[in-house]
Amino acid sequence: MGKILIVEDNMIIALVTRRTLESAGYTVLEIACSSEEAIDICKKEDPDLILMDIQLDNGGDGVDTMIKIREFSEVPVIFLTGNSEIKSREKASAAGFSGFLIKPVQNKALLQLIKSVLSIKDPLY
Amino acid sequence: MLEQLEQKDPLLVIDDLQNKIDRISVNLERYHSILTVINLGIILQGPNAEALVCNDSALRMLDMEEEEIIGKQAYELGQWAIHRDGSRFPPEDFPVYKALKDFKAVHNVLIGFLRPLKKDIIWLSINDDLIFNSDGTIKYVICSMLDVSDQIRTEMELKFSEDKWRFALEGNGDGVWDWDIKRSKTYYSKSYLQMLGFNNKDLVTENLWEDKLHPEDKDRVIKRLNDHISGIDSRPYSSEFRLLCKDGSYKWILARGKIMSRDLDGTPTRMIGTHTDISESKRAMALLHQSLIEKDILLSEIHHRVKNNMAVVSGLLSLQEGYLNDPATKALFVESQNRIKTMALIHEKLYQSDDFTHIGFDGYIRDLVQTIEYSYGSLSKMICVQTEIFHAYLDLNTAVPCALILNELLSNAYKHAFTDRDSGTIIISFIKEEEVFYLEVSDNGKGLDVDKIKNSQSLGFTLIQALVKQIKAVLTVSSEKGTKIQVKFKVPSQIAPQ
Repeated sequence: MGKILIVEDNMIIALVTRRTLESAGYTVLEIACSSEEAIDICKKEDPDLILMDIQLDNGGDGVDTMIKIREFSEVPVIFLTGNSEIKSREKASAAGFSGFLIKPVQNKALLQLIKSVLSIKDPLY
Repeated sequence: MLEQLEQKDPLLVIDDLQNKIDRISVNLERYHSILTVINLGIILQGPNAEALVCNDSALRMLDMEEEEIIGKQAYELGQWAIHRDGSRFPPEDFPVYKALKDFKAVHNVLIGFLRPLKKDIIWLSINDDLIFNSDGTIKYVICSMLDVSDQIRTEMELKFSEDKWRFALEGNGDGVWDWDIKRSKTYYSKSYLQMLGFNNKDLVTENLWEDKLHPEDKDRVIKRLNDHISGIDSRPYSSEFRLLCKDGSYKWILARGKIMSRDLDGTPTRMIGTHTDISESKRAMALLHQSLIEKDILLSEIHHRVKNNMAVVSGLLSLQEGYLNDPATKALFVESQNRIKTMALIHEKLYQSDDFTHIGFDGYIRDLVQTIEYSYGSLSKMICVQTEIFHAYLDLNTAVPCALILNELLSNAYKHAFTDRDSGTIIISFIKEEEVFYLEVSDNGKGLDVDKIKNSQSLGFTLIQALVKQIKAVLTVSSEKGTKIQVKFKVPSQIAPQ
């Protein structure tokens, strides 16, 4: 099963996402609220996938965080953003990512994308 | 001669002389006639510039008697001479003195003579030609004078009228340009140059305007001008651009102009126009534009936050739902979440759009259908949703109730229409006929008891009825081969779809 790291500064949203992932059978690591936390957890736990909010109010920018993680890990990253502006997508695209979803994210769409990114057989579907 | 006289008969000699004298007299008379009637004033002057002879035209032109001229020096005749600009023409500078000094003819010197008796000015174009003795000394100076008063007066009147329109154009601080298209020469007025920080003494190139154009504006502006000249663009000429000032800064200029004359074949030969400094209004416009952008960013941010907060509320309900076991209670939580998501989606659409007061309802419906499909898609039934949607904008006061109505109708269809079967179709139609909108949700499910539903106390139907009332709509429920619910409403004209 995949180990997923959620990087999200809104803890309620993070909890909802965690519940969705857990009920689909994934293991969710400790939620990272900031860029620094995300990098720390990533180094310690070596996740199989990261779900990353692009705008982190208290911890900077999701794309910059991914660029820092890329220095030591090739873990796939799916960006979640409340901001559907083309700019943020272009920036993320330039940095290289595995998926891009606009919030509010539908559970089914999220799970389908995770499944295809991890290329594993989802136990529930 | 003497030898000839000695040899010939004296009488014959006298006759011969008489004949010669007669011939000379005739010739003199002829020349005199010419000099008298010719419209050219002529004064024959000696080597010291003293007048020897003059014709009638000269007397008439100078408004003098012969005695006042003959024997007089040129400077004595021209005490009231002036230049074209009105300044005094010193008689010692008269062309005759120059011709005598330089041993060379002087031509086309314009002198104005004030004529005290007539109380006017005569403008004469003067030529002084020299006749030499056989030893090379000067014998005569022939001063010929052509009356050019009419021409000079016309020129002065023209200049006066040009000065007047320049004054009128420049009176409000505008600069004036006058372009001789044929000769590629441009006159730039004082105000024009001052606007750019130049003064008249600065060296100004012929192509000042083109040279000073901002590189980013150049192609566009020159094309606009050329299109106007060639007639491709028939609009009155006006153009906005930046010009480089002497101090290195740029000014925004509004140029306006008009073709003033054309060739026989219609090619423009002269164009006159003005330059207005619009830097200040450009700056004000930029500030206004900036503040509008900031307002938009602020509004966008507000809608973003509202949507995020709704997502949090919806998330809280979702988390709570996770702790429930009773399917009926869980369903209530899902319905509540969907109602919140329905409203959150409105705010999401608003902050994504440029218009914060209206929402493109067709796009909204498609997204809402997707949200509800995800929500009820796990019922493992093959339910197909078809849409027939008219492109329309609704104002917020109509869009939110409409969206909530649609959410209830669609959720109901998902939940109740196909309980006795594994597949079905839901059709959503949103059309407009004149000023009336029709929002309709129909299905090919098991149908319902129309009377029963009208008296239903369920929250879903209570909400539908309340919202229908809020937007002054008419609700129609029918059940034939499934269920069809129609909401018909009007949008006031001032907020009608764009």
